[in-house]
This record gives sequence, C-alpha cells and structure tokens, in this order.
Amino acid sequence: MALSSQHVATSALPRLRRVMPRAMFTREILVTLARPRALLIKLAVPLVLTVPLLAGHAPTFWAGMLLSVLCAITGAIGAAVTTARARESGLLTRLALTPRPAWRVVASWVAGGALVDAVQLAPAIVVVLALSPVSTVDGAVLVLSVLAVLLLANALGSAVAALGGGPGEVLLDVAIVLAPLLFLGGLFTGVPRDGWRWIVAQADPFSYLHSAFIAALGGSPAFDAVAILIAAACTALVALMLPAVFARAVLRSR
Amino acid sequence: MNVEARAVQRRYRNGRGVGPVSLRVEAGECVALMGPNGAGKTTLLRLLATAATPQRGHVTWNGRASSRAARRDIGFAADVVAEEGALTARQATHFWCGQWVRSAAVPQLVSAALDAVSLLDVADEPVSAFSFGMRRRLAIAQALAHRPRIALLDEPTAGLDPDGAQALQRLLDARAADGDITLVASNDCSFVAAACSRVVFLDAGELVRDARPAELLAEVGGARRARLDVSESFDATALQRIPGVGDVVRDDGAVEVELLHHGALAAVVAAADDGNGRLRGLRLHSPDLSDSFRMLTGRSLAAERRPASGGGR
Repeated sequence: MALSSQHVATSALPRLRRVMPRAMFTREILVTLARPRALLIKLAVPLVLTVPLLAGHAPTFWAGMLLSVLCAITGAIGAAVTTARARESGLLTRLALTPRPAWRVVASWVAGGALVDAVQLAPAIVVVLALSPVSTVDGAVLVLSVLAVLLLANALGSAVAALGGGPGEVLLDVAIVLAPLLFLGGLFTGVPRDGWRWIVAQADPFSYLHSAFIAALGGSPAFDAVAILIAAACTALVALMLPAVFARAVLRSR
Repeated sequence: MNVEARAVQRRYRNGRGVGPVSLRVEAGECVALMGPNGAGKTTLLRLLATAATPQRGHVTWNGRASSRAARRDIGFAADVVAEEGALTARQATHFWCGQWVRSAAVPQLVSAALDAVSLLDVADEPVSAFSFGMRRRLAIAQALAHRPRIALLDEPTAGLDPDGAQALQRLLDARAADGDITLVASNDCSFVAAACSRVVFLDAGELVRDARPAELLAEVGGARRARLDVSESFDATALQRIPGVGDVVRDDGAVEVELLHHGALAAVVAAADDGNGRLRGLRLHSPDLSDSFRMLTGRSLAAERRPASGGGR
C-alpha cells in the first residue's frame, strides 16, 4: 500500500521534534518542515509553473527568464516577508538582545532561508534537468547558480525588510529593488553586446542565472559555463558578507 | 552585580517615554516598576535591557556601560509573546537558551525552566497549540532559562492564572536568594506586594516614589474600605455617625467608607440598605499599592495618560 504524503509527514514529525535548534539556520528549517501542508504547497507552486512551460516547448529565452524570476522572487520576497513577520511578532527584538553578533544571526538566517527555498525549487529544477537536453556540466552549473542567487535574494530580501513596514509593504519594497536588477540583467531584453548596459549586466548576478537556465534548456546563453561558475562563487560570497552591513539595521528595525 | 540608570531619558514624539530618571538596583533585589499606561515602565525596562538607547544619561551594568557585554547577563521577556511557529516549547526554549549557553548543560537548563513554569508535561507539544497564558509562561521560562544575573520582565503576570503567578513568585524569590536582580513592570498590586522588595512609581515618565512595599502600604493605612454603589438621593451623612466608620467620601455614583472595625460593615450595610432600593452594589477593598499610588499622584494606576499629540513613536 502506498503511503500518502500526509502520512509520511505525520510520521516524520515526532523525529523532527527531537531536533533542537541552536542557530537561526536550523530554526528556519525546523519551522518550515514542521508545517508539512505549507511545505507541500510551496513545492507545488514552482512545479505548476515549470511543467507547462517545458511541456509546451516555450522558447528557451522566455522559459529561462520565467524560471530566473521565479528563483529571485522566491528568495527575496520570502526572506522579506519572513523578516517583516518576525518584526511584528517581536522575534527581531529578542534576537537583537542576545549576545551573539547581529551579522552572525542574520547570516545564519539568510543561509537557512536559502536552503528552504532550494528545497522548494528542487522539484522544478529536477524537471528542467530531466526534460531538457542538458549536459552534466551545464546541469551542475545551473544548480550552483540557483543556490548562489537564492543566497543573494535572501540577503537582499532581509536588507530591504530593514526599511520597516509590514509584510505587504516589504513585498512592494522588494519589487521596487528587484525589478530594475532583473531588467539590467537582460532578463526581459537580452544582454546587449556593448554600451553601459553590457557593463552593468556583467555585474548583475541575475544575468548569469538566466544564462545558466538558457544553457540547461538547450539555448544560446550570453555567458559560458566558466563565467557562470565564477559569478556564482562571487554572488555567494557577497550574499554571505552582506549581513555584516545591514544585520544591525534588520534586528533594530521597527 | 548592579544595574544603574543615571538621569536616563527616552522621549517619543508624542511626549510619552521616560526620564530623566535615576535608579540603582543592587544584587538580590526584585524591583517593580508601577504606573498607569504611558507612565514609562516599558520604556525604562527596554533601556535597562539594551533594547533601546537613552537620548540622555546612561545605563551601566555592574559598572560597565557596554550594552553588548551586558547582554550576556540579561534575560528579557517583553509584554508581547513572540511567535514560535510550529516549534515545540522545548525546541523554542532550547533555541533561546542556546544563544547564551554553549554547553551540554542546555537540555537540563531548558527542562528546569519549563518545569518551573509548569510546562514540562507539554514541553514536546507545538507552541502554536498553546493558550495565551501558556505562551506567557513560556516567555518567562525562555527569559530565565539561561539563568541571567539580570531579568527584566514586562507585565509577567498578564494572562497567568493564580497558580502561574505563584510559580513566578517562587522563581523570583529563588533568584533573589541567589543574589540575582529582577525588574518587573507590572500593576498587579498583590503580586508586586508579595514578590518584590522595592516599588518604583512612575507617572508621566517621572519617578515619583521609590520605597519598600510595606512602607507604602503603611502610609496608606491598614483599614478596609467599602465602596457602596448608591443612587444620587442617598444621604451619606448617616454613615458617618456609625461607630467604627472613619472617612466617608462621595465619589460619582458611589460612597467610599473607611471601616475601622470588622463589625462596622454590618451596620453600614444595614444603614445603606433601607428598603428604598438606593443601595445597588457593594464592594470591599483592602488597601493596596494602587491606593498608595493614588495618594501620591491623585491618579489611578488604571488610568492612561493621554499623549501630548496624536503622533506615533
């Protein structure tokens, strides 16, 4: 007899409840896993977008754009809304009063959020890898690029949430920051061959993610695998260093 | 160990806040901050907890002004209950305790803290299923689990049942015996009188009195008071002639009578309940810290100070 997902989730809960969190990283993951229904919905949403896209043989540029935007908003909006809710519930104030350095608390939280987002997007990425004529190298590059952008998107979302406001307001704030970055990364128009926008696109992590998706889907990317890998490493490094700049503002925001 | 606020001030745009206020709390003391809403209790507590910085003056913890170093010794429970998502009480408390303590002792500290607030039986149940009172007890356990030398508790008895309040009192007594400092912001007169060694009255952000509870109660006097809800036509002068009756004060639709002897109550009721339906209700009241506050300021602890303007913080 096949086990239902609800049964599996329910039987896993007692084991989860024995795991004791010490850092925000573990806490974030436990909070997510302890709500199986919400997790299932989070897993389903990217699939609902990805499967028709690939089954309908959408043009690789546009399919890559949609999947890149999905990664960006999953990370940034998820982190911003979580931070705003934490502020409203008093969690941020309590975190600010612990003796741990603020940057370490927020960096741990950002990493935990990115991992949760990666789990959420994993089925969609698996579908991309399974249904597309992707090489092992391009597949690995895509996975690393997605992880790096999720880290950065979470850091950006937390930083934007430091401006204050409730979950609805930070959602709009994130859109205002994210939309120009996606545009400048050439996601809507392609990366120009020259001019200032070409220079800006070189520094925009979302343009490399877009290229990674296009390559995995069998299209012609603007950047090769090596450039995407280097960009992913730099992006992850920046994402983990960003909390040192804004962590105190996040924890002290009202 | 000591905590000292020297002429600290933190005022918000609407005029609320606190200061300038000076206060020194020594090891083993349990100090209650009392005052009506808007008096500055929570603001002062937040200043002492490093959750806010003073605009003027400064706070020292054991003689040092470093708020980061002070956080190692502080446990703070705010007046709101933080959401813990689907975590169990044990997981959530383990997380908070683990921010201060990095050793194998954390599980024992967590169990002891949950046991002290009678939550050990439900320690492995999700906090989302807890009642408000249970969440308040959990917040207290989380603030005290790492055995802080300085505990700052905002409205700790709000939502607690009598057993919970007694358990909290035992916790605070044990802390005082260990030489730890506790500050509570609370208008729960019976709890403060029983659990705290000092009371600080705040009104409109200023410190109006700092004394021991027994001293304040002695100033009010020990006589019980009966508050009679009566009609406008009731003549209160007859009550003043009853033996054992002290002051008789008319207050809106009520008459407050000071009862100097136990037998006086029956005579007061007999005189007031004359069959004409003018006595509508009766309430007995033993003097408490709210009477002391009223005597000092002319205002009730339950009153709320209106802000100077409609602006937010």
